[in-house]
Amino acid sequence: MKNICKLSLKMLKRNKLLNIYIIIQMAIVFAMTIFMVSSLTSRYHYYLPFKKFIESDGYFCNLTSATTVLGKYVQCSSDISEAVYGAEESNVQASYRVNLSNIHEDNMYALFSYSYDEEIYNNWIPDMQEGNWLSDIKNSGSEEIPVVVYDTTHSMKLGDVLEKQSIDYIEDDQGNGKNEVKKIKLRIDGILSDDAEIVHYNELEYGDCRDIFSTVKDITEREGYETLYLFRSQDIHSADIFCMSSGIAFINTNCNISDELKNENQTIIIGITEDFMELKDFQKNSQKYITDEIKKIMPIFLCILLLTIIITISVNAITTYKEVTNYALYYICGLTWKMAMLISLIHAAFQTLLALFTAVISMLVCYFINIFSNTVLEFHPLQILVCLAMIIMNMIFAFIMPYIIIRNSTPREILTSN
Amino acid sequence: MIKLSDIRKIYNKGKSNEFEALKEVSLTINDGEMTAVIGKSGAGKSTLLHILACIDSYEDGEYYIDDMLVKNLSEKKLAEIRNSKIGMVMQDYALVDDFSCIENVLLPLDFAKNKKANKTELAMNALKSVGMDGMAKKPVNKLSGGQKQRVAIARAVVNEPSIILADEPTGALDSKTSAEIMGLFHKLNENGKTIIIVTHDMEIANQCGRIIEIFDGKIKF
Ligand SMILES: Nc1ncnc2c1ncn2[C@@H]1O[C@H](COP(=O)(O)OP(=O)(O)OP(=O)(O)O)[C@@H](O)[C@H]1O
Ligand SMILES: [Mg+2]
Repeated sequence: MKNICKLSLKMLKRNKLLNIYIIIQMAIVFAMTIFMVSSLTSRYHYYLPFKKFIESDGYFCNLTSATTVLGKYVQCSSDISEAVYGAEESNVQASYRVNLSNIHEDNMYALFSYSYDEEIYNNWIPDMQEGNWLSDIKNSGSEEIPVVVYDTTHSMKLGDVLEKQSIDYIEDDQGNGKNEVKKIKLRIDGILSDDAEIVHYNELEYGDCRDIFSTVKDITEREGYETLYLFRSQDIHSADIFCMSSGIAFINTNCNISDELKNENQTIIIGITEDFMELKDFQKNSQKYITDEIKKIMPIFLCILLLTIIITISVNAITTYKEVTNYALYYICGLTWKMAMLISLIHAAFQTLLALFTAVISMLVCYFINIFSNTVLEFHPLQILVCLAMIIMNMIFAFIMPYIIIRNSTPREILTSN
Repeated sequence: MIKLSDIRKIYNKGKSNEFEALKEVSLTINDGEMTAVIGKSGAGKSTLLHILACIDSYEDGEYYIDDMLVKNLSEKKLAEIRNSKIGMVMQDYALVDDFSCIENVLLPLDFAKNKKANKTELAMNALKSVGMDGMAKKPVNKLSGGQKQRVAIARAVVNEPSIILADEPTGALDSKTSAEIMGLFHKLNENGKTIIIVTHDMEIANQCGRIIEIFDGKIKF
């Protein structure tokens, strides 16, 4: 066995130029496949994070800040679930506008700040420039509220503590209202990158999963803010800061409720917002968007698949034709054909591994020097699976190609025909 | 002992260019014999030698090596016989071109069923016996014809086979080099090896203890 490996390695060294050419060719095919699979899976990019919600019964809503349910502002998910039939607190996930302003400023919502319910920030992790996203923040138990910011001025630093205030309007027994100012300390735990996409409602533009997201750059530009502050709902609640539902809300209802209750729910939702969609339709649209996208790239994908197969076959045919005389010589010296096929197999294994290595290294290099910044490149288990399938296909051909070529001839015929 | 009975070899059987290269060849060669096989071009000499070397098939008849019926042997056992019982020297040397001399000679040792520890030493000894030990590291594509033939002989003998088959080993060599190569075969024969040499050179044939002539695929008596 050791000797077989030795001969395979010698074979790799022998046709250096051809092997380098083949390895580069295979590396390119690997890279193409990885890109292709990336662009296939990336179509699910906006769908998978909230799959659980999208595929359930209920509503996808945009709530405005002034939304009231049962006569009060929506401050947490239970405020909605209490009003909707067949919805529990955990089935409603929303985002909220947080009441924060700079010190000595008396505009209540002066700061562009939002908080997310747990399942929203856990299921979507945006691109961070540095620090942690909300889902990775460790509760330090300190007074400072962890915040993730997007700062167009690039002047904020990780770990900075910001002093802000929250203004509450309270009425006393006589009905005299007054503002109560509360000082708040925020600790910057993460800074979003410029092209980060976050869960943020814009408008029902497509009516599918793309509507869930917007890039921070667009949002701040559109709304005219310098800085965006993002919080976890629970931190806002425990600090007793006022907030109001604003933006996206997934309201999942139990699918077993009667049609009557469903209709009632619809009326309730209409009462809350006019900007909503039934999740059933939302899901259908999303699925259609994904299949349409996939259909668009399918022809390229099939071509690459075909190309891969053809390249695999031709590479192995060339290698085998080049080596078959040597196999015959080994045969004369006492090797079985089976072992010759094994040499071919091991040689192909070395070749493929080198090619895969080359592909991954060059892709990582490109990735780090940012050539592909606008290209989708994701590493999924699916890519590994597809690469594995390619490797196995190559090995199978490497094993049977000598068999196909040798099958009908004796070693002396091979030797004399060359 | 080698024994052939009624061996028939048909090339391209069943096709329009079917050709019967050997017609009922029967032959016995005893251990330690030095035999020349002569005949016109196309008579079937190489065909016969390749069958003897277990690297070609045949349609009919029986071939025994040391009382083993070759037909019944497994692929693995046949490989073992090619490796340890038979040393083959081909007309065009049949060396791995970009291997060095020693790498070529090491091949049969690498494929041997019983691995020997001192492979390099054995290979060097074989090269020494043909006077090529000085060029062990040289790639064979940088050698002359005579030198290549020596390396081919070294490779054929390195596993100490009892039978050595040579197809026109001097065909491409000048007379001085031919004489040296024949000297090597004589020495091997003196050491008890069975030697079968295919040649069209009567001078070479006459140096062998026995001459077999093939004519039109048959042995001529
Ligand atoms: N693969 C083949 N297909 C068809 N015919 C073949 C094949 N190999 C050899 N022959 C024919 O079989 C006959 C015997 O061939 P062989 O090579 O044994 O002759 P030879 O005696 O060795 O001749 P030479 O002295 O020229 O080497 C020849 O007529 C040749 O044309
Ligand atoms: Mg011949």
